[in-house]
Amino acid sequence: MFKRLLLFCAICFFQGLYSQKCDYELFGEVFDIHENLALEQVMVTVVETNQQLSTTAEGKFLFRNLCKGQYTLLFEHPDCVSVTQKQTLPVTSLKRYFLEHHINELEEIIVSETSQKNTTKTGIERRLTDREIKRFRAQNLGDALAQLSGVSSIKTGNAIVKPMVHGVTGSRLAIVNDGIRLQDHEWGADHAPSIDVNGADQVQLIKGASALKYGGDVLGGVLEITPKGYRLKDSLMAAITTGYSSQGQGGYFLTNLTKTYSSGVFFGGASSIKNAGDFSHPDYALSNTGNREQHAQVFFGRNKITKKWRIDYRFYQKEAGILSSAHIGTVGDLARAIESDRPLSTLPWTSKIKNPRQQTTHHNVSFKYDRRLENQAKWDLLYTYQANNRKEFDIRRGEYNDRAALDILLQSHDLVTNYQTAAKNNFQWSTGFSAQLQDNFSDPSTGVRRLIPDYLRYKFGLYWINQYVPSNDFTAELGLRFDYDYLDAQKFYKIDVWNDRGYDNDFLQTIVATGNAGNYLTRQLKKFANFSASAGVKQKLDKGSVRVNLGYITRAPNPAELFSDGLHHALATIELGDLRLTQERGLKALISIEKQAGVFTYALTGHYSSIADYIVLQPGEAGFDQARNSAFLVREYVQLPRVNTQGIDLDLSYQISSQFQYKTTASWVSIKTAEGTPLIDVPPLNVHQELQFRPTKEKPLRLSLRSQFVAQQKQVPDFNFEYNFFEDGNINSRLVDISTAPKAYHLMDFSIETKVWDKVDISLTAENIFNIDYRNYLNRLRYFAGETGRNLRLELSYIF
Amino acid sequence: MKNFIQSTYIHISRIAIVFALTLLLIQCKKDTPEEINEEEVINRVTLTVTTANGSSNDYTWNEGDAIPSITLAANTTSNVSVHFYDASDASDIEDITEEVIEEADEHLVFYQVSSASLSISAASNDVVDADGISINLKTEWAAAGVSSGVVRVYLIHEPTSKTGISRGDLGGSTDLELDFPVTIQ
Repeated sequence: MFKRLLLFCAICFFQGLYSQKCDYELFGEVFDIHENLALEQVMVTVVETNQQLSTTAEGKFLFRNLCKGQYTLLFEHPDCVSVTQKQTLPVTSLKRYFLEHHINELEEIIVSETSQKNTTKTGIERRLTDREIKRFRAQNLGDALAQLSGVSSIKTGNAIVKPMVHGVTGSRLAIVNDGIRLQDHEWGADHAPSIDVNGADQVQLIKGASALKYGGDVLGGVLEITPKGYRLKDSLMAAITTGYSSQGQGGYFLTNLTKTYSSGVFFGGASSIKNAGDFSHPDYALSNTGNREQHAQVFFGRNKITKKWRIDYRFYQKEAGILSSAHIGTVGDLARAIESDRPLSTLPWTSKIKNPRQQTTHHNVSFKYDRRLENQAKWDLLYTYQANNRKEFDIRRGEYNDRAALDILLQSHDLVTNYQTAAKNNFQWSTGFSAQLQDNFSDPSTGVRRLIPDYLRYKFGLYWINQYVPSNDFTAELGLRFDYDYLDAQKFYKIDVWNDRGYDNDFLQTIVATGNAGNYLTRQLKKFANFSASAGVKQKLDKGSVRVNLGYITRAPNPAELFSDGLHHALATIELGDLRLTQERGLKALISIEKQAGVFTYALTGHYSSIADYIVLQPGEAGFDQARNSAFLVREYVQLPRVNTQGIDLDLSYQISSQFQYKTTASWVSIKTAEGTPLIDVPPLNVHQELQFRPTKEKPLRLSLRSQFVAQQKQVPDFNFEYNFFEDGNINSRLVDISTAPKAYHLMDFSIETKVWDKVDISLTAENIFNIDYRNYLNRLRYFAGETGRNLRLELSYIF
Repeated sequence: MKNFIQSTYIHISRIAIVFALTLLLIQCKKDTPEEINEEEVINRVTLTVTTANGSSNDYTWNEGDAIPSITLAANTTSNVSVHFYDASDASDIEDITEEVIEEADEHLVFYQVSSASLSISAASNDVVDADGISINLKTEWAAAGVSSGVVRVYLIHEPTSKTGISRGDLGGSTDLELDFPVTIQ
């Protein structure tokens, strides 16, 4: 150090003495290496001369009066790792320097910050705040996501929660976990995504079809869960969280740990265990609604400025009881349940889970490699293997009672690679390729006809996305995607069903053999070529922006839609697929205005879409299964010539004072056929509000009051049916009202959070404070019982 | 650029090899699936009606067919026993009644009568569960005056209660619900 100082002094001395020509300039700019965006307010220091400057909004800086020779430049930014770099003068042109900019972990506003990594440049994105992720880590991903405008959840009871965006779910919505789409999510409304919120770092929603990278069949949007980027420094982050909920008398224990080194090496893991017994309604027990969930994750990788890799393994298992009163055997049971205010089967409270129950197991291994090339282009590659198993146990007789009634194993291999060029002449493009191999196996030892047949599926996709950024204020994006989908299924059809559906005429050549139990074994080969496109623009405004997005999607029918053939006990419904289904094609337009006006920040999004050959599950011609003496309702997958959707989402936050903050999100959507018939399971108008109080900035005390208002869905299709009720020795035929949606409701939550002993976070939350009795239109078990009553939750969290 | 193309090519080819190997490991041609013969369905129900003078008559419903009409003589009491079958395979008909008897605690047969002057009660030789409650596999049908109506037969699985006057009182799920027309003459 002394030597260096001496040298420094010597230079100064000679400089003075010989008055060497010292009027060189160093003109530079600082960019974020990941985003290729100019970085503002980077402190740049010339170590030798102690000159210091902060970069401008364009990331530029200019040092004057430098001499010829070598200098050391130090770059510092609160969100980046500091970097020193040698620079020899003179230089003739503008020099560009790169910093690695990290995710800002304290996002408190609703509109995306530029420091966060956006998936699209012009897409309409919403993100859960860290506090929301924290608040929901003991709950379901579906519940957490429902906090975002435009998202609702479709439920089967209280433990199986599936997100829905702009009124669509399943194949029309992509759930992307760390770059890969979840595959089991297509299994129907009673299958929740196999993701634990505790393992999620960043959760965001890209509305509409703009994220072509993940598929061209996404009408609703993409829900993206991504891990955090880590800094190149030595650190250990760990947390232990434990909590207790009065509903279900359940507890949970969550841990996570991440170790990072300055060499870029990092590793870590997360685990969670959640247990709950029967839940309860304000007036009665919800028998057999307990659930158990285990999740574990380990990861290992290395981050360098130009290279990154990461290996992940995730395990997720969930066992959920299905409300016992929802296990019905006939349409009569359904009719009686609908006419009764209370569930018809109520048992004493227990933490045990009995049949009917569902058990899902999910394994996921992924390898990710990112590389920044010399020309500032980026290349990444991702391989994932997922194995999804779902077992359903029904109430059966004898030896069958311990045997699953449904046992599906879906294995998928995915390979995705993406190449992105550096911005050149205001243009930047990226292109990528994806390949998938899927193998579905339905275990015959269940002794029940397969709901989904055995199949192999190959999918290939190719996409190209171009960005045009002529100025800081305007961005345009255009994307094209092509997918090829090949399905090879082996399916048994009951001969009478086969003939009833007229398959004998059109699919005679697909029959491979005739079995001993009255079935045809058929081989169904389905090929679909799908084209999709997306275009978007973003114009910056004074403290805000306008985004317009247009997407064209093509979606091939999924195996459930093509081949479903089975009984859903909870609804006494037989679901039937249709071999004749073709692709669904749609156009979706979104417009969003985001603005900050003083203490108000708001975003208003309007969306409209028109879809041809929309696939929907609805009552068949007869409505009942005649063969079984009308014991079951029959629902068939059919194609509606045209379906139109429209809706509005609103996000608003208002900083009332330094202590009070108000936030609201609201969404409304309408989905109807061209003739004006509404579709089933469309979310009604809902409004979430939150008032937050922080007495002082210094103290960690925080109080929040939340409200959720859900209107009654008045736009419902008529699926009512006649049933002969047996009453006081008479048979009375009456219409069973299965269609009318439950009444509007308003729920209030309150929570108080603070820190004790510096490192322990403590929170107490009361949900449904007024113990309101309500039913949720989007809960498939709403016919059998109401929703859960008041819940008190205490949570302690220790952060290392 | 050339370097980049080379290195990219090497990377892609390596990954392609790994991917190809993985694909080979899992079979690319699937085995022929096994045919499933469902053995739990109840698609045949027989009511055996034995009159006081010992003559016996079977009334059988098969899935897909109309439910037969039962005829009883006025002011007589008949013994009726109910049997449930899986007749999917005509050469191997399974008697599900045996399983119902084995799991008597989890089952109940429930009858409701409309219009007809008929009262149904458990027979003395009926199967009883662990609590001594008759599960109504064997019943006595006491027919009074000339009339006609319907007898609804339910087979209830895991009822929450075995005492009640309407189906709603009993809980559980209905495995079967059949309306037999009945004529008393």
